[in-house]
Amino acid sequence: MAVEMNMPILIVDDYRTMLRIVRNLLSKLGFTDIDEAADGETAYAMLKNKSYSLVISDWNMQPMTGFELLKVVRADADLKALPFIMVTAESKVENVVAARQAGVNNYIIKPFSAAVLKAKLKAVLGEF
Amino acid sequence: MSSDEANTARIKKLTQECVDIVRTILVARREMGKLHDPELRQVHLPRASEEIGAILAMTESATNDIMLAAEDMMALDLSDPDFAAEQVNAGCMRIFEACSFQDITGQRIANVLKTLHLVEAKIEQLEGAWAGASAVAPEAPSAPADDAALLNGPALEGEGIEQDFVDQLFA
Repeated sequence: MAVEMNMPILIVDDYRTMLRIVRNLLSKLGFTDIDEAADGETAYAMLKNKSYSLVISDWNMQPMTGFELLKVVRADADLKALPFIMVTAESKVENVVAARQAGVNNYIIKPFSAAVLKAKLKAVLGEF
Repeated sequence: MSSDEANTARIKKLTQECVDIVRTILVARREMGKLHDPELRQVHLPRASEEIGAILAMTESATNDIMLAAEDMMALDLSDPDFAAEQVNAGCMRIFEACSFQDITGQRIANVLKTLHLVEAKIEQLEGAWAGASAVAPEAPSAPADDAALLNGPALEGEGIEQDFVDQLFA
């Protein structure tokens, strides 16, 4: 299935710079509908109010971490199939394994390149 | 009171003051001993030092990447506008990528601050011990529970795994 470049994407990170970087990279890749949240709690509220096609979330945030957001999303009947990519500086094996077990679709270690982001988007969404 | 009696009283008073000083020193020493925390010296302080080293290295590397991208764009031959536009686009992407250092260094600084807070608490405890207050032995940092144990921040060189390894797990 072709990827719609106007699909709504939610990016979640507590660093404004990082939100800006991911937003700009996604824009450069052609995506046009990008929203931002600064923590898991805000993101979850936004997910309940708008139908998103993809979440790209940091892990280490307060009050709700990206990992907690992932678990809440997977436990929510309306959101459980939502593609979810974790983008984080947490690079221990146990983090990746825990995220995988919790149902993350892909995992990007910071710092990352535009090429890595594009490859993971393709792996999760399909060719574009 | 005779002069001998006055001298004896003065000596007794001085002796008592010396005894009190020695007692205070002994008590303070004993209380300070309770504050001995090898983990701070052997784990937290060296880790903070390494984090600062990593911050300096990453900042330098990011600055270099940004300047290189800018220099490449400045040197572009504008006689071929399409090619130049493509190169500017690529240069902007390189700058965006390099700017992600701010997130990583921010997390490293947060880790260093945690160590500084540990040191600050230790100094307060030492001040209390010296002031005669009973020092409270430092509490061993409790192991974070479940999900919190997974919050370690950016790894130092050689600690974490690479993206290629992650990709294998998701292949």
